[in-house]
Parts: sequence; structure tokens; C-alpha cells
Amino acid sequence: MGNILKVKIALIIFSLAILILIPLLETNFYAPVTYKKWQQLIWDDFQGIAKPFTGWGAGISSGIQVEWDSTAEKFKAYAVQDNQSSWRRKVLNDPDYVLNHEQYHFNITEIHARILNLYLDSIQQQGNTNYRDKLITLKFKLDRMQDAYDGESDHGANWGMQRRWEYKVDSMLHELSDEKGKLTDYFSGAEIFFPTRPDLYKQNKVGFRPSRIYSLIDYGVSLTLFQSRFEEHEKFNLNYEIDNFFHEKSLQILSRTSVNTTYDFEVLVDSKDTTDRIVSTRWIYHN
Amino acid sequence: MLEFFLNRFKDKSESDLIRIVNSKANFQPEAVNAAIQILNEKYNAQVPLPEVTAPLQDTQTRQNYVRIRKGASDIDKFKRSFSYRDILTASSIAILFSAYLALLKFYSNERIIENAWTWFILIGFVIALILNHIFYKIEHRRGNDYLARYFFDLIFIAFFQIIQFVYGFYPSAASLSLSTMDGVGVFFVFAILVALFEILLSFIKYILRFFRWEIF
Repeated sequence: MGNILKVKIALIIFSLAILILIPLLETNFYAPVTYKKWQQLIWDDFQGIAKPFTGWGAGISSGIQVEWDSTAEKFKAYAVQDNQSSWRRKVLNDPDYVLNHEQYHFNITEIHARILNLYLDSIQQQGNTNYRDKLITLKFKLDRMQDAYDGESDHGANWGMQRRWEYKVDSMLHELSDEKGKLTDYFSGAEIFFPTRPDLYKQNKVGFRPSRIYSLIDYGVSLTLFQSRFEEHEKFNLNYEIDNFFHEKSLQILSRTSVNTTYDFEVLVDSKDTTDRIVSTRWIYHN
Repeated sequence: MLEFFLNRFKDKSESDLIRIVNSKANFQPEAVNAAIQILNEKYNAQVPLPEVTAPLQDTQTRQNYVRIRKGASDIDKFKRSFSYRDILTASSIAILFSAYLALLKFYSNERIIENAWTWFILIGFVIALILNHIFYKIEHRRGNDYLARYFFDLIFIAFFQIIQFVYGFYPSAASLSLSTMDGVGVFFVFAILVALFEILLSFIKYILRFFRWEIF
């Protein structure tokens, strides 16, 4: 009987120790916190205690903070990172890659802060400042998206899915920026979406077909908008010109699909280069 | 017989002994006498020994005793023997389960826990229930039937809810405890799970009894 009482008291002490210790570890023993607003992270932003026995290299704690902007006289939402609840292990195999993975966690938080800002702007124009319900909903969605990011990219271990998520998150951030993510070429009028701003190359040498090329090499892929000028009478030779393009680039055509479209001409061509990398192209001609 | 009860009651607390004396109708006279003797010797109580009853009355008492014992269900026994020890059992296991949940939440991003989150909670919960019953059986030297077990489980769940609620006020522990909203939902989910678990346990016990192999 006495032994059972001792066992129960031991269980209570052991359990209370765990319940008290975990919040202490999570907050670095309540060290003063610095909340960093959304920007590029560096390893100095990770001051927390690494989780004992963890299998991961780092962890980030980020959230949405709503502040009163006295200059603009309105509420504004910010994505912030807590430096004491964010942690890293001392030894990491590829610190840059790990930091990049954590950065995209922070970027996901920024997406939701921007969505909240759109909502705040819309309700404040109507004289309303009650954003709590929306914040709760967004917090739920934010958690689900963070879980999906870690789940699909396997916490960054799946390189391909990590790149895919980077593309997705950058696209959403770009869409929610002032530029709205859409690029319009003022010569051709072509509109295209790039996840981040691409580089522009121009070809206007005499003897060559004038062209403008927007290119972005990231996420393990090359995204390119190639624009070239054709005269009206040349449009009947478009298929020949496309074949020439692939021939000159030493690309082997795998499939060619004509598309019924509102444009004068549209065709999708998949090809591969000499190292078996896939090149997917979409050709459009419009007067 | 008196010696047997003196030996058996020697480690009982004062309140346990007083309860035996106060509900003497439920105990054999030798057991009551033993409780009184220990109370007087160990705790300096001055409880007079009951007068020697006539043989006929004694027989009647014994018959009453047998009738009461046979008629009493396990829930009656559970209620009669319910004491601070059971409260301590339920609360200690509830704190243990809360600590287990906090640890699970702390390590929720680890691959092994992330992939089997629900299983970890369910298995932990079942182990907590079993521990609850093992402690009860060791202390009371008897098990309970379905209703009494379920009632004891509900006490454990109630303690668990209280601990979760209180723990939410501990600085930076809110994310490790269940929110009030979750708590209400979880209470009903747990109550249903417990009912199913106890039905399953009763069925297993029935099967074991049928094959005369009552290992618990």
C-alpha cells in the first residue's frame, strides 16, 4: 500500500517536471524575445535551445502580429519570427539548404499576413476593425499550409518537392505583391506569370529575327518567355520555323499537340535535350 | 480469525479503519473488532469494543451480512470503498497522461510521431486507463465490473480536463494543452472511446472466465 502511494507521488513529480520543463525549453528559459519582421533569415535569428533527441536540423517559430500603424492610421498585419523559439542544431550537413527551408516557412506566414492586410484594408474602409474571426481562420489555414509544406517536402528532404513548394510560395507572394505577379511585355502585349521577376534579354542584331526573351532559372528549372516577330505572310511557315528552332538547339521532339484556341495559332511541344532533360514549350502566334 | 484481520489491517490508515467501524454491518464482527483494536493501540482512539451479542442475534447479523454482500453490486462496493486513494490514483494518471501529451506535442514534427500521431494518442490513452485499473486493483485487492470501471474512468477523464484547463494558464504552455473548445469535444470523444474500451475489456474477461483462465 505504502509502495503504491510512493509510486503515485513519483509519477506526479515526474509528470509535473515534464509539464514545467517543456515550456522552459521552448522559450529558452523565458529569454527576452526579438520579433523579426519578414525578411531574409540568418542563423543568428535562431537563438532557441535545440530540441533534445530531435531528428531535424532546425525549427522556426513564426506568426502573424497585428499592429496599429499611426502614420497610415490603420491596423497592419506583419509576419514575425520569434528568435528564442526558433532553434538550430550546432552541426548541420548543409546549413544553407536548411536555412532556405526555414525561410519558406516564414514566407508562408508572410503570405497569410498579406491576405490579412487585404482583409484589414477592406473592412477599415467600411469603418470596421473587428479582424479577430478572420485572424483565427487564417491561423488555422496557416498551420495547415505549414504542415502540408513539411509533409510534402518531407521537411526539405525531398529536393524536388522542396523546389516545387518554393515555386508555389514565391508565386503566391508575387501574386499578393503590388506587381500582382503578372508580367506584361509592352511590345507584344504578352502577359505571363513568373513567381519572381525574370531577367530580360533582347536580340536586335541585323540579319537576325528581332526577339525579346524573359528568363528565370530557379527551382531546378528554366522558365522562359521567348517572343519573336513574324510577318503576316510567314505565319503559314510556323511549323517549319518551330522544327528549325528545335533542330538548332539539338532538341528531340517527343510530342506535338495543336490546340483549338482564340489565338491565330497555338501548339504544345514537348522535347528532350541530349542529357534527357525535358523541355516543354507552348507556341502562340497572334496578330 | 481476529489475528488474521489484525494482520491484514495493520497498514490501513486511520480513516480506513474508522470507515470499517462505522459500517460494521458490512463486515464480520472479528474484522470490526480488529479495526477497533488497531485504532485504540495505534491511533490512541478510545473506541469501546462492541458488546458480545447473543448467539441468535449473531446468526441474524451474519445472515444479514451475507445477504448484503450477495446483493451488493460492484458499483455499490466501488462507492463504499471510494476514498482519497482513488482520487490520487485518477489524478496522478491524469497528470502522467497530460505530460505524455505535452511531450507528443513538443515532438509532433518528428517523423515517427508525425506519421502515427493518432495511434500514439490512442495507445497512450489505453495505457493510462489500464494503469488506472491496475492501481485500483492493487489497492483494493479486487477489480470492478463494467459500470464501476467506467465511472472510475470518467473520474480520470474529468481530472485530465481540469489539468488541461489549469495548464493552459502556465506561461507559454497554451500550445501544449487542449483549448477549452477542444477540451469539451475531447471529453465526449474520450468518454465514448472509454465506453467502447470497457465493453471490449468486459468481453475479453468473459471469454477468459468461460475458459477458466482469469489472468486479470
